[in-house]
Amino acid sequence: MTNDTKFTKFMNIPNFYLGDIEKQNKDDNQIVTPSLGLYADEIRQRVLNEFAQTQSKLKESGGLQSKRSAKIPDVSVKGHSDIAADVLMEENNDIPDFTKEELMHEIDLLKKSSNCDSITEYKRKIVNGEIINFSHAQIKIWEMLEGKLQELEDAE
Amino acid sequence: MSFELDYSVHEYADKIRKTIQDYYKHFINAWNVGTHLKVRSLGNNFVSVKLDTHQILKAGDKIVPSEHALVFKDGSILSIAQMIEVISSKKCRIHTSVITFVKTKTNHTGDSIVEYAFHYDKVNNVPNHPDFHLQFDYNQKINTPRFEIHKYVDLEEILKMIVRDQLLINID
Repeated sequence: MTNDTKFTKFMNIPNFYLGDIEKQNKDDNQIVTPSLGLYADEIRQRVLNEFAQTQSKLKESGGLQSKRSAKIPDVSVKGHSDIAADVLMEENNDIPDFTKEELMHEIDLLKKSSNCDSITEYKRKIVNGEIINFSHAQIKIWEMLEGKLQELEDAE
Repeated sequence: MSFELDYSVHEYADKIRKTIQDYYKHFINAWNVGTHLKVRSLGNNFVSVKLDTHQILKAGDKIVPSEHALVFKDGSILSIAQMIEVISSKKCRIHTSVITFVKTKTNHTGDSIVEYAFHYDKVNNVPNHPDFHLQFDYNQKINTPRFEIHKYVDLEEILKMIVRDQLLINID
């Protein structure tokens, strides 16, 4: 089985699909076999359309945040088998990244609920004995959120 | 201390959802966990699994239970914040975890306030601190829950302990 056949089976592309492309090529007096360029363009569009439809359904059902939403597949310069591999990867590795807004919201809640302007101030209060009951894990998580926010800001 | 799970992150999140749904009769909104349990990537193979917002609540704080993702029938709340390290597609490790139980009571003006809270930590390599740790922001009238502190205690065991030690029954 060729990579193309595997991918066609994977994507459940109707049988007439390739026939249409062949017919179009015949009509244009072009190469009888499917044009790989045209075929790849069609596949790219199909992957992107299916992604858009899935996202739209998730939004309508209110589940976009909690469902396993995916990043937009990168189908810009890849061959068919690469695209299929990417789609499979997305199914297994589709955890959305924290957005800057989500991180800022979480960090803001930590600051407000701790009455501290920063994690540095929070830790200073602990060292000074002003805060007795605290969670080391919470501090670690706060630091990780701050680190990710910093990373996003640096990338901008 | 290494603590590995034979789950993907999604399977682990599903396990949390199922555990909470198994205790649905103790919550007023266990169904909420389906949409409120957030799984987000932090990059570098770290994933945040979180139920409810990251807040630091202590005895005496005023709260609005309806603003929280998981509320017991007595108005107490439970929150989960964990950092999961992805090892492979079918293996992950709980790197850092804080599961917090916040007991509430109603004051004379009808507001809900935090009566006491406890958190159960899992951390790594903090000097002079056990990797697994239970801490109360304490009401001395509450018996200390019988609780293992030398090993990782998962959400199900924490919920079992909360029910077993009757923390959901108001003693005043």
